[in-house]
Amino acid sequence: MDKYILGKYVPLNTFIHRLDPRMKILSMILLMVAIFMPFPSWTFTFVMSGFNALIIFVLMLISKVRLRDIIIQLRSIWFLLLVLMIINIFLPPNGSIHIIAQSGNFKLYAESFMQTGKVMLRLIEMFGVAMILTATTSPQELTFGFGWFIKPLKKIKFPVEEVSMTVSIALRFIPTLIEETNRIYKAQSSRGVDFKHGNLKMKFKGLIALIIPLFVSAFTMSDDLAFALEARGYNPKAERTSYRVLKWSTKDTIWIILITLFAAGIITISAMHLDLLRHFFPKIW
Amino acid sequence: MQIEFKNLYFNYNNNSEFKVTVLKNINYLINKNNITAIVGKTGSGKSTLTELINYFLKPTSGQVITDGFISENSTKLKFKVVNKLRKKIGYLFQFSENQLFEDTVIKDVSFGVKNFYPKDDGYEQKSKEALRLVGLDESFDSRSPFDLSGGEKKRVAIAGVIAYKPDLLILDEPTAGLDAQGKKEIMDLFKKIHETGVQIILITHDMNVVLEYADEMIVLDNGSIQKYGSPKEILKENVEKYNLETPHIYKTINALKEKGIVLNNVTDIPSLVTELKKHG
Ligand SMILES: Nc1ncnc2c1ncn2[C@@H]1O[C@H](COP(=O)(O)OP(=O)(O)OP(=O)(O)O)[C@@H](O)[C@H]1O
Ligand SMILES: [Mg+2]
Repeated sequence: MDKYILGKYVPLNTFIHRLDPRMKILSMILLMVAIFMPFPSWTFTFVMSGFNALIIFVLMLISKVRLRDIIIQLRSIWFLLLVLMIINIFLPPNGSIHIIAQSGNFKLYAESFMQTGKVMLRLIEMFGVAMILTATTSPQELTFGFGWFIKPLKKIKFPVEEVSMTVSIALRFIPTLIEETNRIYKAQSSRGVDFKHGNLKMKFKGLIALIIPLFVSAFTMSDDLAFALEARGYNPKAERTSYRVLKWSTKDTIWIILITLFAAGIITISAMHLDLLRHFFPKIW
Repeated sequence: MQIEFKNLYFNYNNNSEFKVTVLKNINYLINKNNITAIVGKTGSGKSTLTELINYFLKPTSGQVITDGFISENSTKLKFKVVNKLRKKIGYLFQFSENQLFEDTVIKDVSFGVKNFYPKDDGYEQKSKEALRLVGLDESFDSRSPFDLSGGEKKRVAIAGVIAYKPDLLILDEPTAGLDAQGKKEIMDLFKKIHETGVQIILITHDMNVVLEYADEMIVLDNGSIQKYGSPKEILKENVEKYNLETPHIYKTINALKEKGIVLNNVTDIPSLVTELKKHG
């Protein structure tokens, strides 16, 4: 089940779990912006990236998201990073000056590796932030949160309620479908399907044996659900009151102020286009 | 096929905060060639125990030895080895009617035969035999499995696991969702298959079925085996503390006993009738 960790809600009751989903969504956006701000020198970039990483790491500790789970996610994109590294080696980033090896016309720049490292760090941080959000916020809360943000779209006749309902039902069924997939997987393995080894034809056959029953189940479920909704008089156009009311509390305000200050700080430093390290510690650099 | 559990423990999500301990120190040797019933209330770990048998799950500690294959926590599962074992086991899952996927019934039934015996071209013959055995005639062969009723789908699923002639059948709630008639037909069918030398492990909530068909039974509760032995003996006692229902026939005997009519040696309806006659 390790594969499904990204985006999986972990039903604990940490401090971050109890925060308002709207505040968490907003914070996530702010943190993402902070992560992707550019800085004038390599050293400074890495120092700032490390600073972001530290903050995110603290948030991870509070919300009990494990570093290991993020590393697992990276395993699925290591190939992408490799390609990125190769591109960076053959097309070094602008302003590369530190040659570490040379053979004929080809120069290997230190900046190629720094660039790859920078992107990798940012990806880890981004995964971290996204996982803090999804691990601490149940799918229902998430849809409520997003629903609140898109509410103004109602003015331009965007079907906000319907979209919210659809999304929350879809999210609700993800665990059920995973369970169903597992069950069908086992059933077909017991009939001798080799999903992992075997030749391409075998794998394809295995995939079909998995996907068709899954689709059939999904359609049956959605059919049943549609009947059940209709039987209980569901009208998509009707005005809806929520069983759960989002409650914004003082601690949410305090947090959003802290996060905004942090992000604003990072953005300001980036906007100054100044290598602050060189500025304050001229002797060392 | 001999199946042995040795100091078996099993947890789901063992290395996380969501650890669920399902089986605790199970020690048991399942007798060859019996119909063995595994019973227990919902969530007591019946499916977990049988999934350990054919390597879907690995023990957290202890061993499961199926037909000489030792499965331990440290065992690395090689597909070839696992498949050699699975070939000998027909595993009918709970909700097995949801695993059908081919466009015709006959193709679906041949699926397992073709996977396990790729060089054998007798798969169509074997599949047809299996279908006739479960009581579906030729007219079903070329129908789409998705157009069948629930009970018919179940039969196709059963044909799909018996077609490759396994030595052991693991049946997880095979009669769920069938009507009384269908239940009897299916159970009689399994009995017939058993008589041809196929060992059976049966998970069920129906104690009447256990009493009528099983040779031995295992009662699971709280993660361990609470009772094991002959169904006739175990079900006579009070099994309601394990959330099991006393079979109808024993309920009848108990009711008669309250009225002062004490009967011995009754295990089914014919013997009940003879005993009652003796009483006059
Ligand atoms: N994949 C899983 N992850 C975590 N817990 C699980 C998982 N599968 C089962 N469990 C838990 O393990 C326990 C035993 O489950 P199992 O399916 O073996 O029970 P069962 O006896 O077959 O029940 P039933 O009669 O309902 O089929 C249950 O409490 C269940 O919630
Ligand atoms: Mg079960």
